Amino acid sequence: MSKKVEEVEVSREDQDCINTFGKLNIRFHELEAQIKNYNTELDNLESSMDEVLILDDVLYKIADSFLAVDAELAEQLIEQKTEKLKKEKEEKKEEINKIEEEMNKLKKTLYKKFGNQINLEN
Amino acid sequence: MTTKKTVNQNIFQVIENQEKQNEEHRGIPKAKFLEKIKTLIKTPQEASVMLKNLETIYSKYKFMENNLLRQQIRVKQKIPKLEENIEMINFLKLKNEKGGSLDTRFKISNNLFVNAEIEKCQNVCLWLGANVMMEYPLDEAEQVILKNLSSAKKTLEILKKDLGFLKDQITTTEVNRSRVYNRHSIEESAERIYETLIQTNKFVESVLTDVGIEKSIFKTATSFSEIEKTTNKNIESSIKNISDEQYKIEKVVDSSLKYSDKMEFMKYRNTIDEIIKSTQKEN
Repeated sequence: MSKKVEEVEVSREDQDCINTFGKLNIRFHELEAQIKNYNTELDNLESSMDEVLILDDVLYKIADSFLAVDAELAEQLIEQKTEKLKKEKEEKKEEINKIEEEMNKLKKTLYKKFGNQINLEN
Repeated sequence: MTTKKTVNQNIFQVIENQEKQNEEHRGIPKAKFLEKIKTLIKTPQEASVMLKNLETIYSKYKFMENNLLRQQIRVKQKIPKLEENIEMINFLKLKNEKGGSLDTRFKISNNLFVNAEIEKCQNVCLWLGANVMMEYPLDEAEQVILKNLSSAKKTLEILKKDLGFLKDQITTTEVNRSRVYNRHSIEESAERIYETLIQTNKFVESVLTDVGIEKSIFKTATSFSEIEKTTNKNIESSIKNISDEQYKIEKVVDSSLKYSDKMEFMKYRNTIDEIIKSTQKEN
């Protein structure tokens, strides 16, 4: 006449899985924000590159200073920076993909054992 | 059955021992994972005590986390500044190769810029902190900044590891806390059922005595006290036992009780039903 509700006991291994998932989740969000930044920076560099192509002399900004450069040098500097950022962005993307894979695996295991008793979404 | 004091001692002793044995990660104590909560906590009072302890431990960990996060923010802000310095030095080197003087517009304060013309640039000045500024040739300056950059990155790595470890302890404590809380509500319901059982038992006994029913029927009423003993151990089966016994007794008294007594008995029976329902929900 009464419905029996199971309370699944949490083992040490489960706790370790949960802990790993938590850490991966944090790292995932960190990387997501960083990749977003890279994307905005790369967009900015692309627009500056477009502008430089139609100008002769520009002031190139490094930190809080502006430096007079001719278009050629400016192009060179912008390209160098774009390359560097693209490389870093690719590395972060690789890492985030790996983390996503790991997280999905852990999600499967944990949902299998605990069902509704656990919440792994953001 | 462990007493309040021993449960209290258990948790903190373990943490203290761990701290003495190995200061994990620069002073962050390791959180003990609570195995088999069912055997560890037997009464709701024990659960409340443990819950309080876990809350204190949790807030201490959170405090540590805030400190480390603030440190991390500071280091994270340093790194892009150092990288900009390196970019500037590289630019100066490039300009030197090309030759010619350098026209710049640089910031002397917020919202205020000034034009300057730099002839051949061989040296730069680096701010070393503590009101000290030193002039370096370009290459040496680059070395200094690279060194600072790598030590900042190393500090960041260490901080990340610390934060990772700390996060583990926090998650473990959170999970412990929710398990203890669940256990607490189960034990509380068990206690309420237990108390209601005692009352119902007394009432039924008194009614049956008044009406003068034979000893054989008394037996059904006293089996309640056996249920009392099993309540603490296994709530699921005790719920079933209670329901079974309720109906048995009802059948017996149905035919023999006065109307008013029947109503009293129904009241108690309904209380038991409600407690059972709420226990199911909480579970």
